[in-house]
Amino acid sequence: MSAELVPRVGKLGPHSRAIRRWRVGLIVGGAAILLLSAVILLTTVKPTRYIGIVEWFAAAIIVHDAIIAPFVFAVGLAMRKAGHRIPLAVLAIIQAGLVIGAMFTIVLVPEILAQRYAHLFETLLPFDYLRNLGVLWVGTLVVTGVAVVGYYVWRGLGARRRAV
Amino acid sequence: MSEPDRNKKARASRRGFLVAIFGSLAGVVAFWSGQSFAPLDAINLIAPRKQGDGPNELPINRTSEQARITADMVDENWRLIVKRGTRIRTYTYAELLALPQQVVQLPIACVNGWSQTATWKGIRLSTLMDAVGREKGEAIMLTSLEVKGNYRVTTMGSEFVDNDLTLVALHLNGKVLDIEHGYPARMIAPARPGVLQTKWLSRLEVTT
Repeated sequence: MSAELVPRVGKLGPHSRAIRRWRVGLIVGGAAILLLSAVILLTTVKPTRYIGIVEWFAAAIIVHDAIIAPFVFAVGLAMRKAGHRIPLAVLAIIQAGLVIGAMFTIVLVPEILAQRYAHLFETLLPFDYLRNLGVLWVGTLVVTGVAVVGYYVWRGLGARRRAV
Repeated sequence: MSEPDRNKKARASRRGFLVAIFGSLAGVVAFWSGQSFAPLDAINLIAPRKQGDGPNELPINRTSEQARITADMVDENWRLIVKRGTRIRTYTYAELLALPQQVVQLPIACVNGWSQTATWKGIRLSTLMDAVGREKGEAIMLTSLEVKGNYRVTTMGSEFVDNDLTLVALHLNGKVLDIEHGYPARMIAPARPGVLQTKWLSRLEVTT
């Protein structure tokens, strides 16, 4: 191995320096946004609403840590185990399908929940959004399935061409 | 795992991530936009509203019941008062119908996020305001019949009053205004938020 290729301890390469600059920039930017948010909160929001904001953050932490994170962890674990038997591209297609379905759910669930207050929202939310969410999930599953089958067909054709 | 394999896996993972993000964004936009973009109405499965759904084939937000509008408030005794200083004109519904009517295509652009174009017919606002001697550049105040509401009384800048597309509308999509759309008369002006297109008009008054 030539001397030029030996990494020099204590010195950062140009790639690492760029990463460090990005990290510092993002941390400074994030801190500035937090500071600005605190100023806006203290100057524009009535103190009587602070409890509601704290409740919102507490609920967000519970939803993230108790529901979303375990679900994502379980899916990741299942994918990793399946990764020994299933091609990576198929896993990526399934993940994409799950993300797309999750996005539809995130957008539609508030509409479905708000319909409980029919007297307030009878003209604002007049349709059956639960049915629409079902249609979107079925559609996403079908498209994901077609993409997976399409990948296997494409791979099979490629293997046959190579064998000829 | 060899170095090339690791690189290949990283590339595939990034590709999957980008497909998921852009796929979900494209899906939400495609299945949402129909409430404002008519060609995509057939696949609108996410947005709260659909094209042409509601009285006069146009959605509504605030109902006459929520605004506490009763039938006797909009019967034959209803009058539209137009005022500038000491000059006052009072119109019955029949008198408004007898004035020159204009037809315009304008959207209700709701602050809730939907926007739908409709055909409105009514009297140019400037015609009514000219009748009480309004001068160019003067703003006006609009008052609704509604008993309670944040937008019962609002102001309208001169740029809207002077615009020939701004109407006191009596008809919508070829029919008499439904009470849910502000019968007997409502405001419709270009480039103005839906909540400021005052329904159930009762009074127009020059403010300066």
